[in-house]
Amino acid sequence: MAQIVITGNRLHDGAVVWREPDGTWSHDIANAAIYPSEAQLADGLDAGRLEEAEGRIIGVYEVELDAGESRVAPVRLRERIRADGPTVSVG
Amino acid sequence: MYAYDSLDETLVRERAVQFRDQVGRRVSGELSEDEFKPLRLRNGLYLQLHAYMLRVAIPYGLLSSDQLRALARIARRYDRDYGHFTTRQNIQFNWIKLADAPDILDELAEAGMHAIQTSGNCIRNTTTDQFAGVAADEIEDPRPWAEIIRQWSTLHPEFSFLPRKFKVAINGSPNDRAAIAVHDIGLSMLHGPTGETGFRVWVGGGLGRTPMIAEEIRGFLPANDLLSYLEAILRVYNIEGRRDNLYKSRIKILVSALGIERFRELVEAEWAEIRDSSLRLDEAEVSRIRAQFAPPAYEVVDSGLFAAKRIEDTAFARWAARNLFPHKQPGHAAVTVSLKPIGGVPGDMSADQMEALADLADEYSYGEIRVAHRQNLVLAHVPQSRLYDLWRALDSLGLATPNLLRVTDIVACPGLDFCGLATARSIPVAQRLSERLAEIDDRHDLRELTINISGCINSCAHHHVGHIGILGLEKSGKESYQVTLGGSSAEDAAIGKIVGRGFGADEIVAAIETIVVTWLELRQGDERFLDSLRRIGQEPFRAALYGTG
Repeated sequence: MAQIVITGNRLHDGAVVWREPDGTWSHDIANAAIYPSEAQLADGLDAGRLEEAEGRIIGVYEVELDAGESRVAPVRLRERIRADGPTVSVG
Repeated sequence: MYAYDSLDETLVRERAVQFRDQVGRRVSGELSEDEFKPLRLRNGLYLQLHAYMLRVAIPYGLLSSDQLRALARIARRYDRDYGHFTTRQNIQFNWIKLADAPDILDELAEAGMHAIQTSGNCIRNTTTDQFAGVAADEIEDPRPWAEIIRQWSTLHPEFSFLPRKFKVAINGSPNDRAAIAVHDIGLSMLHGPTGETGFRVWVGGGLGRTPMIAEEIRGFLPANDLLSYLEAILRVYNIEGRRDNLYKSRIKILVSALGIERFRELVEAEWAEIRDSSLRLDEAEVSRIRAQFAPPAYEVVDSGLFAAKRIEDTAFARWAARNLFPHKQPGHAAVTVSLKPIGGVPGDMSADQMEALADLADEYSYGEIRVAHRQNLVLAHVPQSRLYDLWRALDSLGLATPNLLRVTDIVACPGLDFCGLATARSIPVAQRLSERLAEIDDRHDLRELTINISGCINSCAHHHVGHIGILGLEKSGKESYQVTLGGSSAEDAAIGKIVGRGFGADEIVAAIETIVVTWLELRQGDERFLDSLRRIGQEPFRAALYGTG
């Protein structure tokens, strides 16, 4: 199975967050729980969606990591930009 | 400029109060995201990649200096000290917190502004020529009519749940500076046989996944019938337009499917029913609104200083040649304030710049600022005798890049750096192109050559109508940029044609440079790029790009 992490956006400010092993949410993808099996991923998504239903997190979904990277980094550019921020200077 | 009446003020204040309650219910968990999302979108609040984005309405792109100061305060207090002006003459803030949104709406209401109908399947901000009311080539000022459309369309109950969003543009000159041919409805002002004001009406234009040039539905519409005719078009669309397929729900698809003749029959039949209703515009009311757009009390000015400074200072002369627009009032000019510094982010403006420009607008242009759909700003009433001082002030703020409609005046959407819908980045491509092409423009005087870059098929940067259009897509997990040539949003409107296979992120800048350099070799005299392309076709560019000959 590919390496997978779980993400969403925080309700009150829309910030990108990543689900940690203890079920809390981090701004830093390096802290994200990496799910080694389909069953554990399903459990993680269920827990994330429960928090979504409770209104703390929006749009929980899974993101595949790039196994060729030395750091924790998504495969898709969209998710890399979500993890690292815009590639252009802001403001 | 138009000032809110008590009805407008009540409406936006009530909306802000309602939204505060809705946000509170969402945060408390009383509303789910599915329930809340349509409510926040109706107030211009999107969730993008990194944060909420608030799109603030700027009706027909017209701002007072105090309103620009209010936007600067919002940028500083609630965002990251900047805002992004859009191709719909609005402004977006990219880093908004949900909890702050009600306070922002309150501050907007205080300044006579709001975010209503900047999202959703309703009638969006009516756009117009940024030189409306001052252009020397103008038939009539279209802004009073845009304001009449705003009042009619605001919270129009019948048209709040259309099959899809709906955009109207209105232009008052034979030279189209409002891109009316690529709008759901385009209105072009003209005089009838007896000199009365009216509109040529176009319908079914649009960009996005299925770009189409609008078709003429009526050659002359008397001005006082404007609202009844618009209502007839909208009613036919609302009833007949598709709701089963998002990608086929715009009016352009309906017009194309029915054919313009059949669509016209349906509209005319509906119009016959409602033409003599209360929708007919009363001349006294039109005059009342028109009076709010009366020109300022222009001073008689001596233009001698302007002429002398153009001789003395070549940098000023170059800016004046490129960024000034002919004014109907002798001794005055309309100034384009470029938001396209070389290597900068198209359309971005810092809070400091906003406040400084508001002061300059008070000092030089009767306290008024316009937003152009090419993501620049305009000071529309500057005496020529004061242009040199204004230019120096703008230059010190980084707002005097002399590039209106030139190759570095690039239109770009936020793209994948910010937008949840985007499939590729736009801004970094614009920045690299600007840096690369500025030097070529300096050496070869490329004249008018527009580049538009969209980060997805939704075409927010109108890439289909750029002389050179760039569409960013995701292919096999990588950014790929498709190039179109020959688009135009002016009176010679055309959809650009794809030149060939796309280019990677590391190839696209060189590819555009190849197109420009190839054109320079084939250019006759001082032809514009678009004129050369129409003369020689795409083949020389394909050969240069792909070696296919």
